[in-house]
Order: sequence, then structure tokens, then C-alpha cells
Amino acid sequence: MSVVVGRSVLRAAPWPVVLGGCVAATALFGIAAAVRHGALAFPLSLLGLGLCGATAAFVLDEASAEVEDATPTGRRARVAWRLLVVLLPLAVGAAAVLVLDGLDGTAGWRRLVPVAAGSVATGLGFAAGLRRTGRFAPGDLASAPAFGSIVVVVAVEPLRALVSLAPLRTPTYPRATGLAWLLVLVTSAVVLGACERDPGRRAVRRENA
Amino acid sequence: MSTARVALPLPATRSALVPLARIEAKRFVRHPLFLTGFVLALLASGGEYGPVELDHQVVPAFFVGIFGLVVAARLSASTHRFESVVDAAPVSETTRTAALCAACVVPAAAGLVVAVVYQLALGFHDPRPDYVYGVFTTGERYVILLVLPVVACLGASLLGVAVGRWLRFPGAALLVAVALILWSALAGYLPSQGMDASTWPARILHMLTPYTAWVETNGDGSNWVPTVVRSLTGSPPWFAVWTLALCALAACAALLHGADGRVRQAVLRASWVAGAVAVASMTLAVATGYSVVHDSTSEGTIVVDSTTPLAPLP
Repeated sequence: MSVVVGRSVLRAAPWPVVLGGCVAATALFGIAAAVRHGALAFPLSLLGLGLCGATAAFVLDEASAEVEDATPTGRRARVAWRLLVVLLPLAVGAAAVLVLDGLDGTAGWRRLVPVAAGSVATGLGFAAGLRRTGRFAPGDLASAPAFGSIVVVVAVEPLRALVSLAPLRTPTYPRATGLAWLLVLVTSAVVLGACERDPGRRAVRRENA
Repeated sequence: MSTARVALPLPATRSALVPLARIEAKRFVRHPLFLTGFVLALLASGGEYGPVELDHQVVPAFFVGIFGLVVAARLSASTHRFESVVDAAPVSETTRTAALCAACVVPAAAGLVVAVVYQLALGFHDPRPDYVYGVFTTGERYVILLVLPVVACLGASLLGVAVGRWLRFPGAALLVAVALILWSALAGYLPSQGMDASTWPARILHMLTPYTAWVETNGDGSNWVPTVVRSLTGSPPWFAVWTLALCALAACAALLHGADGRVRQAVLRASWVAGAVAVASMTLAVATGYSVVHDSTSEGTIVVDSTTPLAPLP
């Protein structure tokens, strides 16, 4: 997997959407920082984190995937290069909550870093799943459930009896929270690995057998 | 030289609209994102968990309205790829857009179902004390509980149609949805940001939004009977008229895309009328509504300074 191939894969990434999403998320975090002592700071930063996840859902968009699948660069190799782009929304989300933590150390904003990682992983997972159904540019569709699920699950906390997903203002960071987000990351990684197989691989194996 | 006048049939606009609207409504109903939102809204409306009754409108507005916005935008934009083929059909773009707008009845009906299911679910529990309704009269409660959620679901979906017609970059629907949530959160909950809600700018900002909050409570989401309910400013009935006017403006914006000639003139005229209604209803919502913030408890209702934080739950 040469750097030349990687460069061309990265060049083909949907940069305008990714950058636009990161700018919008940064704007939300900016407003959250401005009202950081008010009741809206957490919902706004949650929207920002959701937007980071929604932005990550666009990273796998390949309008010409049918053509690219026929090239020697396999799907997994292309996705591996594309994962570098995912670091951008992840960095925006993580950096923003760390900056918020620096501005207001009492709330424990840094505990939202796993939420940023989980949000980005969720976006990728939804996009990979939809790509398997034949949508080569699933970002537009995958971004909505990624955004909605993160915002709703963290804000409503349907599993609050078992685990709190965004434990701000608690004395310690619960281990169950870390495990829950780790589970999200692992699940997304498994979905990504399973759904991004080369479409022709199985048929070739049968032929050889 | 003789001329022959042949009476060509007029474009079958009206006759095509109904079957097209039916098709679009079916596409809306079958969309997985819409179904997901609808099911989540129903799940969030079945018990004591969640926002207090007068704040429950947020559930259909978010799950059906915001998801409906994205679905409507996707349905509108789905024909872009086949534009050259679709444009050859003997139905104008305006008719197709009107059919999409008519299909927005689906999320509006879903919003009504969610609101009614919530009311039915409440019937199985102990009656709530009167103070949880704040200062609002019975009529105003019905507007908040049954009318506003339906209008929010309808309006968000109509906005989605307009977004699908005008904005063609990926992620446009989600970006508009986030902007809508942001606008509503900032304007709807002004007292939460330390702004004195009884001042004129705050009262105008509180109404100048497609969705607004009517109460704030000291409940934590798991207890549906808070001890303090803070009623915010404005008039619910006139706010409903304002949001309906916004719905009409969104539909006009969608219909304007691709409209020409007399149709364009008609849509523009309708936009002016909707705009005038919006301005008038907004003015009345601010001028005739509640002008100060009230705190209601089991001991009674008093006028309070909105910048004072709510007492925590005992």
C-alpha cells in the first residue's frame, strides 16, 4: 500500500463536507464555551459531539466506489487511508471538550472525550453498514442516525440505572462508563471490518476451491 | 392561409397532485429514519420518565420533526440524480413539490399520534397537581400539548422539502436541523442563560423561534412531578399562528424552486400573505401573552425574577 495510493485516496475524500462539519461543530463548542456556566452548555457541547459523529459518517463516501473496487487498491486499504480523515472530527471534539475543561474545571468536561470517540465511531459504523447495502456515498443518510443516536442516548440516558454515559460533576469517573464507550468502539470496529470486505473476494475463493 | 386552433389539454396539475401526494406519503411512511423517529417518540411518551407534561412537546418535535426534516429533504433531493428523466414527465416541478408538501401530513399525523398516546398514558397514572400547569389556562394547555407538537412536526418537514429543493450539498439537511435545534434551544430557554425573561428583547426572542419552551422545572427527568414550575412569557395561541405562518413560508420557499410565470407570481403573493400573518401573529404573541415569569408551587403562584435559579428538588 504505497503512499502515492494513500495520497490519491485522501485527495478523493469528501473534504468540503468534513471541513464544513468540523467548522459547524467548532461553532457549537464556541457557543457552549460562551455560556459554559449556564444550563445550555452541556446540550450545546453534546450537539457539537453529535455533529462530529455525523461528520465522520461522510468520510467513507466514495461516489465512484464501483470503479475503485475494480482497481488493485482494495476496499479495506482505501478505508484504512480514509480513517486518517476521521482523526479530524475526533480531534475537534476531543480538543473542544479539553478546552472547555480548561475554562471551567469544576464540571469535568474532559470526561466527554470518550463521548467524542464513541460519536465518531458510531458515525463510521452506520456509514460502513449502509455501504454494505450498496450505497457508495452513505454519509448523508448515515449522519442523521449517528447524530440522533448520540444526542438522544447521552441526553436521555435510557440505561441510567446501569451506566451514566456522560458523568459530569461526579467525584470519580465510573468504570462502567469507560467500558460502555469501549464497547461502542469495539462494535463499530467490528462492523467496519465486516462491512468493508472487498465485494469480489468471496466469489474468487469459491472459484479457487 | 387558414389557421386551425387546436384545444390542447391543460397540464393535469390538480389531477396529478393527489396520486403524486399519495405516492410521496407512502415513501415518507416507509422511510426507516421516519419510522425510527416515530417509534422512539412513542417509547419516550409511554411513562413517567422524561420531561414534564407541558415540556413533552419537545419529544415529537425532536423525534418526528427533526427526523422528518431529514427524511423530507432526502425525498425531495432523491430525484436530483434522475432530473433529466423526471423533467421529461408531463408534471411540473411545482406540482411535484406540492405533492411532497402534501405528504408532510404524515409527520404531522405522527406528531398528533404521539401527543395523544402521551395523554392516554398519563391517564393511567395519578392525576398531577394543578401547579404543574403553571399559569396556563385550559385552552392554552391544549394548544401547548396538542397543537404545537403537530405544527412543529409539519413545519420541520416542510422546511426539509425546501432544503431538499434549494440546498444540494451533502449534509445540508443535518446542518439545517442543527441550526434549528440551536436557534430553538437558545431562544426557547433564555432564562437558563441568565437573561431577564421579562424584558422586551427577551420576550421577543423567546417568541421569535420555530419552537419555544413554555415552562422550566426543577425536575431531573426521572421525576415527572417537580416541586417548582416556572411559566415563561408569551401567548401559546398566537405562537401557534406564528408557527403555522412559518409552515406556509417554508412551503412557499419550496414551491418557488422551479416555478415560473403565473405560478411563481401566485407563490410570491402567498409568501407575502404568510409573511404578513407571521409578523402580525408574532407581534400579538409578544404583546398579548404573559409578560413576566411566574413560579408555581403547591403553595401558589408568584411573579419572580427569571434570573433567580430554580430551587433544587428536595
